[in-house]
Amino acid sequence: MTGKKLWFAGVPALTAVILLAVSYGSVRIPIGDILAILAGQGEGLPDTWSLILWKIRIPRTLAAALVGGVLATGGVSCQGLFRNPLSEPYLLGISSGAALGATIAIVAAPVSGGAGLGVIGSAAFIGAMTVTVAVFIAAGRGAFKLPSTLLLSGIAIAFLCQAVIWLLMTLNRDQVERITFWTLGSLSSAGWFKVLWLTAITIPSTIVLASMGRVLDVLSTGYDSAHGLGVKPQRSAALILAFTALGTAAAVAVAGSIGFIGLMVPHVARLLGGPSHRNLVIRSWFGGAILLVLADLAARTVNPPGEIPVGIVTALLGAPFLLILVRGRRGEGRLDG
Amino acid sequence: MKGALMAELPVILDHTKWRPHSGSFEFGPVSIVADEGKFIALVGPNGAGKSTLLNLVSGIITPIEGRIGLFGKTHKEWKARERGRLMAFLSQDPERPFGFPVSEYIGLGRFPHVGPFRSLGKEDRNIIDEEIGAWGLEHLESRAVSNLSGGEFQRVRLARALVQEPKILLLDEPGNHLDLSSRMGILNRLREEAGGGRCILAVLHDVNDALLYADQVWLVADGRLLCSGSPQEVLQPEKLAQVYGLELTPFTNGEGLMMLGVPSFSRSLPD
Repeated sequence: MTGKKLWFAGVPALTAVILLAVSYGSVRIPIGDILAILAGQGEGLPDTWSLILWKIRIPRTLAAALVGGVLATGGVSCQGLFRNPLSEPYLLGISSGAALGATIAIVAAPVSGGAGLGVIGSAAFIGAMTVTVAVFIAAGRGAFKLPSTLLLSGIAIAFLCQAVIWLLMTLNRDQVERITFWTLGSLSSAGWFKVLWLTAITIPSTIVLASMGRVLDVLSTGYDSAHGLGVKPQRSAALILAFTALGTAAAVAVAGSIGFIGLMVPHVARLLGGPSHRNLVIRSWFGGAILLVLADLAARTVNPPGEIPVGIVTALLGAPFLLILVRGRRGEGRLDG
Repeated sequence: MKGALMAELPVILDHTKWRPHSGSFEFGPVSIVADEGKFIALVGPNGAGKSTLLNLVSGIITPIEGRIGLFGKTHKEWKARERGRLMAFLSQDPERPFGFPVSEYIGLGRFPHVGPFRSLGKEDRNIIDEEIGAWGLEHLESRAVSNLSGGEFQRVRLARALVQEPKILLLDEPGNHLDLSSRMGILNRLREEAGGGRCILAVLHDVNDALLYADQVWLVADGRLLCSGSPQEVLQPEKLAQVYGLELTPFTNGEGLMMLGVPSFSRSLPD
C-alpha cells in the first residue's frame, strides 16, 4: 500500500472503528443517532446520550486512537534503528520510568486526581523522560553504533526501576492494587484535556517520524552503511529517538504502559505493505490507532459493569502473535532476519 | 602539504594519525594520494590497519592528527549527502534490514541523489535496473535481503554501492563470501569502473588478486603504510615474507604475469 491508497484505507477504517467504539458501552447508542447528535440534530434523543458521547466516549476513544497510533510508530522507529524485530519503544526505559514516576506519585499522594494530566500522569511523564535520558547517558557515545549497548542499558535500568517499584509496593501494601492497575494500562480517565495533550505531542512527533521514513530506511542498513549513503547516523538516530521517546512518554503518561502495540503493529503493517519506512510509519499509526480503539472497546464491554485493564487485552492478542512470529522466523533460520 | 590538500585529487591523506579510545593500536602517520581512475588494493595482514585506513577515508572515524582531503575539501566541508554522491563505502560487517526486498535495498543507493522526500524517478529506476542486470540479480529482485546467501547479498551490496554513482569507491574485502567466479566477476567489474574514471580503494586478502587486477598496491602493516607502488613492485616475496612471515614462491602464469604461490605445509620462515 503506498501513499494515496494508504489514506483511502486508513481514514475510513479508523473512522468506522471509532464510530463502532463510541456506539457500544453500558448504553448502546445507534450509529445513526450518534451522527445526528454530532451534527447538532439530536432533538428527541435522550439528553444523557449526548452527555455520554461528549463527556466520556468520544474523548476516551480519540485518546485510545492517539495512544495506539503513537505507540505503533514508536515501535517502527525502534525496530528500524536497532535493526531488531523484537525492539519496541519501552526498551528505552520509557515504560519503567513512567511506572516508577507513577508509583512514587501514588505512594506520596494517595488521593489521585488533579488538573490536567493529574498528579500520577505528570509524575509518569517526568519519570519516563528522566529514565530515558539516563538510559542514553548510561549507554554512552557508541549508543547508535552498537544498538545492543543501548538496549542492554535500557534493560538494566528497567530492572533498577522495577526493584524500586517493588520496594515501594512492599512498604505501601495498601497501594499495591492501584500501582498494579496503573501499570496494566487504562484509558478510563481520558478526558478532553488528555486528548488535547496527546494531539499536541504525538501528532507532531508522528509527522516528524513519517518525514524521516527514508532516513530510517537508510539507517536500518546499519551504521557504517548509513554513513556511506550520506546521512549522519548519530544525529539522525538521536533525532528519531528523541521524538519517539517524547511521543511514547506522552502516551504512557495518559494510559499507562500498554504493552505489545509497539511490538506487534509494525510487523503486521510490514506484512501488509512492505518494509519501506516512508509509508510504514503512517500505516503503523493507523494500525495502532485501530487496534487500541478496538482493544479498549473490548476492555470496557466484555465484563460489564466493570472494566478489565486494556493492557490485558493487548497482551492476550499480542503474546500468541509474537509466538507465531518467532515460529515463522525460525523457519527462515534466523531470528534477526 | 597544505597546498596539496587543495589539489582536486580524490583522496589525500596528509600525516593522518588515528588511535582508538582504548588499546595500544596506533595508525599512522600516513601520507599518500589516491588518483582518479586507479584501482588501489590495500594489502596486509589482519589487524594491520587496512580497515582503519578505509574508515578514515570514509569519515566514519576522525583522525587525531593530520588531515584527509576529498577532492580538495575535508570531511567537515562536505555535506553528508554531497559526500554520499561522492563516495560509496562497503564495510566488512554488513547488517541486513529485515524484510527489505533486493530491488528496494539496491534503490537505497540512490538516497544521496534523491534525498529524504523525493521519490525515485525514471532515471533512478533505469540505473537500478541496469545494475540488477549487470550482477545477474533479476531472479532475486523481490526476495528479502535477509533470505539471501552470503554471496548473493555481497553482490546486492555492490550493486547498491554502484547505483550510488560514486567517484570514490571504498570496499572492505569485496570478495568475501564469494566463489571463485563471482570474485573474478567483481574484480573485473572494479577494473572496468576504474577504467571509467572512478577511484577504487579495496582491501584485498589474496595477493594474487592484487597482482592481477590492481593498478596500485598499498602495503599496510603495524598501522603504517609500508610501501606503495605498482603490484609488481610492492608484492615482492621478500617484502611479503617480512609482513606475513611466509615464504611465497613467485611464478608466472599462462599470460606471463607474476603470481605468488603459498607454501604447501605450515612452513614458516626461519628467524
